[in-house]
Amino acid sequence: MVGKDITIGQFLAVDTALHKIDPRLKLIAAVASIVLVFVYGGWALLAYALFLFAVLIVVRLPMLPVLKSLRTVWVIVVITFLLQVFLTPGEVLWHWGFLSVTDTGLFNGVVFSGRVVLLVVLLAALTMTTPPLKLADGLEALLHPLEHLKVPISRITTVVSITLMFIPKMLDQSSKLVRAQMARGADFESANVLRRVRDIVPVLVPLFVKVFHDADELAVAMDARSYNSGTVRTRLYPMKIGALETLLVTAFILASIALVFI
Amino acid sequence: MRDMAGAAERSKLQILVEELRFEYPGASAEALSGIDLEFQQGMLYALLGRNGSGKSTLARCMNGVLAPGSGRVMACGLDTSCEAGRRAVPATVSMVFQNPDTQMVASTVEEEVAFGPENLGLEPDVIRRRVDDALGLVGISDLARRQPLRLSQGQKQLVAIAGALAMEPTFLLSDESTSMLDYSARTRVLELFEKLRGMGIGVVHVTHFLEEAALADEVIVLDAGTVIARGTPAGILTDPSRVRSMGLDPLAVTVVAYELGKLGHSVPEILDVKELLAWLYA
Repeated sequence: MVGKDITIGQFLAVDTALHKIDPRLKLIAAVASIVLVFVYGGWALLAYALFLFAVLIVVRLPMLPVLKSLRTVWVIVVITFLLQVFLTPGEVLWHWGFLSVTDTGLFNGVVFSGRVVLLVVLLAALTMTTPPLKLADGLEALLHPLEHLKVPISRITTVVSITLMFIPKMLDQSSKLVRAQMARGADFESANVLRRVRDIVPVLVPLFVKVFHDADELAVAMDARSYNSGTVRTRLYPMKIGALETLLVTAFILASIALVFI
Repeated sequence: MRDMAGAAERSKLQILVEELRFEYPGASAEALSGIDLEFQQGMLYALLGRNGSGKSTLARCMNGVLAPGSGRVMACGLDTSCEAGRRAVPATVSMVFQNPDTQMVASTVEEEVAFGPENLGLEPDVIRRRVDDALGLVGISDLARRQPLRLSQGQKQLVAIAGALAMEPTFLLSDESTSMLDYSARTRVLELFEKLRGMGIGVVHVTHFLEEAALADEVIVLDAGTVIARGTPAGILTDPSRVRSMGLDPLAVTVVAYELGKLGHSVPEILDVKELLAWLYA
């Protein structure tokens, strides 16, 4: 159904080594990896992709949900690939009418669409191994210096965590609405695109109404538990960075950077 | 001087609602039109009324979520007219809502229960004790490591109640917290409310179910933003025609007892089938 394939942003309640790492370290590693994904090209990017997947397999992160998260962006991946393949000038390998495939285009297509894939995999790995509230705590700690510039970091990170938390709820709700509409004759698998678009409107409108209503209720429920008390929030489990996890994450980042010498 | 100190101490154990008026922006009528009420610690109150009568709005004003339009709410000595008062109130007047799904913020039950104490800036060991106490009190210690979203609706509501109790409140406000639960979960929540009353916590339960209201020490009925009845359950709920006039569905047992009374029998005020049977066989 609609939302079951969307795994990005959803926490996965399994016990892996990544789950145990401090959210701040994971965020630093994720940002470093994202930067490297854009820095690397060609064989270095391929090597980095293999390295990332090897790390995820070694830490025993279930790969099926990670790969499922790609289903949400396959259209972007394909469009990126095709645009690069057909619109990049270079030595022509094949042509048909006005369409021509160049060697540079093919190379760029693989690199650019590969970057999109890696970005999604990295974000999925981060959100699947870090509960939204912990992710917000990590973000808040890392961005804390911006509080001095009057940036409401605490509020922003709470919005991020709640947005992540709402993804599965929205998916669940959309599945219910789709089922309800299908029971009344809506056809979401029709070959007719116009009909599919027409049938999706009765799902989107109540979905957004429900989500806004739920968001409002959640805000009230949070206020009712002193979220707006004005006190600096403490934690049941204060964040602590251990020596071993620091070592592992540093090794991961250094190994990632070392690939540039391949 | 001692009287003044005594009054101040007493005010910390009660919620005083004085001439409270509230109107939602853009609404054609006031949601609350001059409410005067007093709630004492260690009592179980049932707040009844038809849809739109102002029950939830009153509860939210008592919890400091809503500021009074005019009038005053003094919740455990805190004036909710000012922002500082409203911010402080949830620490002593906790609240649980109808839908547990829209109250969850954390990925494990213990973190969910810890959310309130964390917002109070308490030390981790104090938060730990409060979480353990609240989970134990509600009887869900075994769920501590579970994901709230994977629990049954009844379990989720118990988690929400534990989250409210972890604030160690003087009062617990329940805004139709039993309305989405099945019979066994409702029974468990109601037993918990009675337990809390026994521990000296004041419970204000907003409900549509008269059988739940029958368990209360005091019943308050609202209609169109005003209090139209207040008294013991026996005093208010045993007259079916009066109950119907308030827009409520009378308990079947009270209808039977009332009809027996009309036939000339001297039936005492009865709210429970067992009481009726006991009287019939007596």
